[in-house]
Amino acid sequence: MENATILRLQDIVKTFPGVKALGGINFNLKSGEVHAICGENGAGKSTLMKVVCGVYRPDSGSIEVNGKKESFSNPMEAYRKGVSIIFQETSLFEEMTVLENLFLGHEITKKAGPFTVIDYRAMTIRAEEIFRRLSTQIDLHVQIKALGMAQKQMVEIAKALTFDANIIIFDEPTASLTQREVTALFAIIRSLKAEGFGIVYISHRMEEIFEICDRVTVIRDGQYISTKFTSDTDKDELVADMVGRKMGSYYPKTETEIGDTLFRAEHYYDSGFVTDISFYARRGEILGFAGLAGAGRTELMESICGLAPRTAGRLFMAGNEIEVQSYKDAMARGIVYVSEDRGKYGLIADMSIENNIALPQLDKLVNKFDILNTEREKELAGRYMTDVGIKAPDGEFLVTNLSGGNQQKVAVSRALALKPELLILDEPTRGVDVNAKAEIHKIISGLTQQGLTIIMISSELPELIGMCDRIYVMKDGALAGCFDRGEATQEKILSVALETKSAAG
Amino acid sequence: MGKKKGFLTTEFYLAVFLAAILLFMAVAAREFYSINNLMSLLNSFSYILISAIGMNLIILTSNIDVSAGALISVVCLSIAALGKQGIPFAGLMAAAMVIGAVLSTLNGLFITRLKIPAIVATLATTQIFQGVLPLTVDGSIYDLPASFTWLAFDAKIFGIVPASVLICLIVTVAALLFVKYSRFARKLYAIGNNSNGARLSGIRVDRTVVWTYTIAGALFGISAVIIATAGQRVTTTMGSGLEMTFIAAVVLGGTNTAGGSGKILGTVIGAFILAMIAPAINYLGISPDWSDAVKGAIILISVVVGAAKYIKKKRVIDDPAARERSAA
Repeated sequence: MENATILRLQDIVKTFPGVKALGGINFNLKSGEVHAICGENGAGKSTLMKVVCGVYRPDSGSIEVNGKKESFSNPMEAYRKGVSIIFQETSLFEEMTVLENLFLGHEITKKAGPFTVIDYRAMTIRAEEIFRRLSTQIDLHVQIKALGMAQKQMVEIAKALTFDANIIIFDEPTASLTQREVTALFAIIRSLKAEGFGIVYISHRMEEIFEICDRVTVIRDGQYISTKFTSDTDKDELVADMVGRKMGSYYPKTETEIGDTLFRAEHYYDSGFVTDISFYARRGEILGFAGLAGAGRTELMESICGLAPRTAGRLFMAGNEIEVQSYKDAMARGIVYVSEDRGKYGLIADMSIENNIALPQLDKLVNKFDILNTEREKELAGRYMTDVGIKAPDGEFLVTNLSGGNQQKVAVSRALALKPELLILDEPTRGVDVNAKAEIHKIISGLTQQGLTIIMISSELPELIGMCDRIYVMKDGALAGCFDRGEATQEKILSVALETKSAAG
Repeated sequence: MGKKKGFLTTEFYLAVFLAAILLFMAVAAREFYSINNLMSLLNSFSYILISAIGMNLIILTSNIDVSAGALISVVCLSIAALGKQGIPFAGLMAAAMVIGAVLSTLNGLFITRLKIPAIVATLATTQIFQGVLPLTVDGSIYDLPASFTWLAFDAKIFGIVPASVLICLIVTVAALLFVKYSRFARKLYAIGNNSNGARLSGIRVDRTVVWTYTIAGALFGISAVIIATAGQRVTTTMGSGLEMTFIAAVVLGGTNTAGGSGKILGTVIGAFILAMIAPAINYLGISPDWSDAVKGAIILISVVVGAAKYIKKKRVIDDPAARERSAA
């Protein structure tokens, strides 16, 4: 079958300050083909697709759509030229109707005397025709918020079709669908394929890739690795491509004396997602939590720290049961959490380094008139600034002006200033450059020698394997496995994290 | 909090603007500087500023209170009822602060417990506060005794300066110190700046917001005392519309309505400018009908100037393309 190549990416390079997100990616898509892109979390799949549809501009490389070189400056332009993308989180407007969403930004208009008005009739006819093509029935006049996840996705697909797009990109489309909905979605993808659409399918669910896709391209750490026909390869080979063989020795894990159990969770449930979790952490141990994005690792930790409700289960600290109602309770018990998104949740960007470090323990820095002792605040912050090695002119420097790595160090300093026994680090090295990463690893290793226990959530497997004494693997809100330092490999962890979702859904 | 900005701050520009108006008035309408006018100006400046400080605290947490005017009406009438019984000034002041604090705490509870947006919650309470007054009083309470008007007529410092100025001075100095050095104020900035970040620092965000409303309510109560005791008759609408002046003073003073930034000093100058507009217009021989429009124009200009700075700052962060250009 000689189908035309409708999308060709050549040597796409994209760097963010300090990070090379994409380092020369090649990709091509033929009409009538479903082409998968797979890779670990953070491999660059989503960045690549954002480059294709104009959210980001590549530093170099070329994008050819339907035989013409293109450079989109926004997704709307990409839509008009035939490329539409269906994001993981739908980008529909909840309060507007299906019909309004379908044609948002490119409404069909007509002349009514001197005015240009929206032609609802023409839009309705067009929409009905599209839904007939998708053999789906959705009420056009119902608000998006009334629809289920699968229906929303259908609206997204229909929206793509209103643009006469011939390239449709699906970004993890099945993440929140039930098994039956997945089957329906695949039927639609097959019919689109038969009509000659080219489909890019981003996923790390192996079964789906082998079921629906013709070819699969693997990327890892922003690098192009391979493109294969799904009929010529198998799951093991893909996993091997995804993780690669390299294993950095730059994780300076120092052997520490591991003591008795410090923290224990028993049959722990949060308010709906995290299910029946039991685990323990020993003194001086670095405990890793692996899993795909959305496996429930952050939810579990937030709940343990009193930042989200708990519905069942017990927590123990040094053998005594503890009651955690709020984050203050957790801090009082020596449990401190450093959030994954320091920009959004962790630090107060417009405050100084000192103010940020002191913020959780202002109570200890005030006299009886609630007046802060700024000298002691300076002293407290200064101590940790030097210990952790924050690179800034002085403590009054605003956090917003620091680099990602240094911001992370402020977040860690703030946690350490609370003198925790159990420090929970959520993605401590996300978005920081290689040097800062190594420094943070060194700090973490150093802390365990002082007897601290560390729980580290990370989506970078080499990091976990290099740093941790034990690694728990989470999947769909539950624990799916646990590996000791000696036996943990990327292949083992990934295959546990990727296990097929039970067909019950 | 930004240390290295030098002296070219919002407050500085405002002070220059204020000085320019004062100078202009000296040339264009010398009578503006008559003792009588200055003293009455200081009196209205006092009650505007005291409440504006309360409003400033609320806005710092990225909330708002549009019920302040109606709340002041309620407090005015309540203390008038007490004053009629001959209760002395100290008792009136205490009662006003308590009533103000309680009513404002209700606002805070609606906002945090019921998760109603601040503007909606306080709009609703405005209607309630205003609505109950005509039900309890027929238009006004009048023939109030001398003990009631003690503050306005008898309590003059050096026999000339209204004592309200002294109250205002105490509140302002306390607020300046409090906002700069207290733990509570630090929490306000943290919440307004990034409420999730504040939560992750162990700050009880909701509780802090409720306390902010409580404190602001007590300050509204103090303003209500100054307003109510100015005469022997207290009507049901004494505070109507004042909330806009308070909010305007805060905004004019450079506090971002999104919360998390702004200084009390700016609000002090903002309150003074707003207190001055009506008498200034009067002494310039312009129809007093213009004063609201002039206030509006001044606010609009200052907000646009402030927003221009803000938008420019935001662009660089939010737009990846621009970030690349500036990096290149």
